[in-house]
Amino acid sequence: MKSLSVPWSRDTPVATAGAGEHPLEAAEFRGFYDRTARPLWAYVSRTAGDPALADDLVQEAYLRLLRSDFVPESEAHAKNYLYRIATNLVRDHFRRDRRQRAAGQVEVDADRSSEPAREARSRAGETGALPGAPPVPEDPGRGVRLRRDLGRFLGRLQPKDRQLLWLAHVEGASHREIAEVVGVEEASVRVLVFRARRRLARMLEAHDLGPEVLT
Amino acid sequence: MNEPYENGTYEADRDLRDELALCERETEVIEAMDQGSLSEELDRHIASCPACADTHRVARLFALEGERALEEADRVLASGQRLPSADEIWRRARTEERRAAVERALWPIRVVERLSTVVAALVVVVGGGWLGSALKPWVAPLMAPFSHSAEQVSAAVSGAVSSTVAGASSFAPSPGTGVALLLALALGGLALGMYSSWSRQT
Repeated sequence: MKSLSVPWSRDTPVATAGAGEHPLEAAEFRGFYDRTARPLWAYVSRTAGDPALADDLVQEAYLRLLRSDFVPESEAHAKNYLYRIATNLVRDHFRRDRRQRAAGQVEVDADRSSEPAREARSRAGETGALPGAPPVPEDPGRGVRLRRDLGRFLGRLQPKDRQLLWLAHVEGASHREIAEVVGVEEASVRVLVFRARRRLARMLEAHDLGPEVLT
Repeated sequence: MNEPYENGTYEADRDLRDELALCERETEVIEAMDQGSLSEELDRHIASCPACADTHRVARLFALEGERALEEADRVLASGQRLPSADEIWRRARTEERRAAVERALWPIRVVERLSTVVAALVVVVGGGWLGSALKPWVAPLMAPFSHSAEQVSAAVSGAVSSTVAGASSFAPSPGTGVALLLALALGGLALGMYSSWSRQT
């Protein structure tokens, strides 16, 4: 995997652990965290569509990685495993959310339902923008409108489609890596990515958003 | 990403490609976009190929959204409030690990405690039954005055004494008591074995 500006492809073998020892040492983990937290947060915030939720899920993903007995062969392997944990956490979140909605028992967290938080979320729209981001002006310029629309299109995709496309286009992950992270057969990744891409392209096309506009 | 067809999967992929209108040049389009320049020839191809046009459009969107998301991530990490530091996560994980280790070390003790309760209950039930039957000959004569004459009482007492002495001299636990005792011993041994093996591991 690559990230946009963090050099990632360090295939350095991670120290092998003895019995009862954790495979990662504190210093190693610090380095790993520094290199992965930024792209991981970006991935989770966009696939979950909620930056506040991303904060929680990213922490939980690292904790689960450290709690697991997983012994990575390389840093790339560890990163794939971390992304897999995060992907499952996002999936569990949506599953839980669906169940709660189906049961008609959506319990909204007191903090999240508070007036300031609601206002912040409303400002952020469906783009997954930070709650602290500046409000969208009454008559936004073309660039602002376009950015907001792009976020909305992503929000309309199924979470799995967002994950597949993010990994393919932002992380530059190979089909094998995508399969490992999302938990699908490697052979079907190409088709799944193609279909997700086509769904999104149809949405963009319907709103006359060609690549020449997306600059 | 989007590796070219290889290792004999080409034919199957070609069928799929026809069905789904996949294009072999998608990878090329993405790579060219990553490098920031599309050749005129590739540009012409994109204009005539629906699959590559989709790839181009979507890749552009994700490039923009990816940059935005990473900028936001930078702000989140720089704030130092929304995400704990690596050291904090490390400490929290170690604390949880220690707590889990203590739990693991304590569970055999808890099992032994529960087993002791079960064994004690068994002892009370089985022992109580046995004691009741053993004391019956002694208790029966003491209850007799309330229903029999003095002669009957004295005869009964002497009979009871002799039968108890005879019974005590040939005492052997009943099969039920024996099984219960064996079971209790087996359970106790098993619990101790589990505990010692677990203690060695932890």
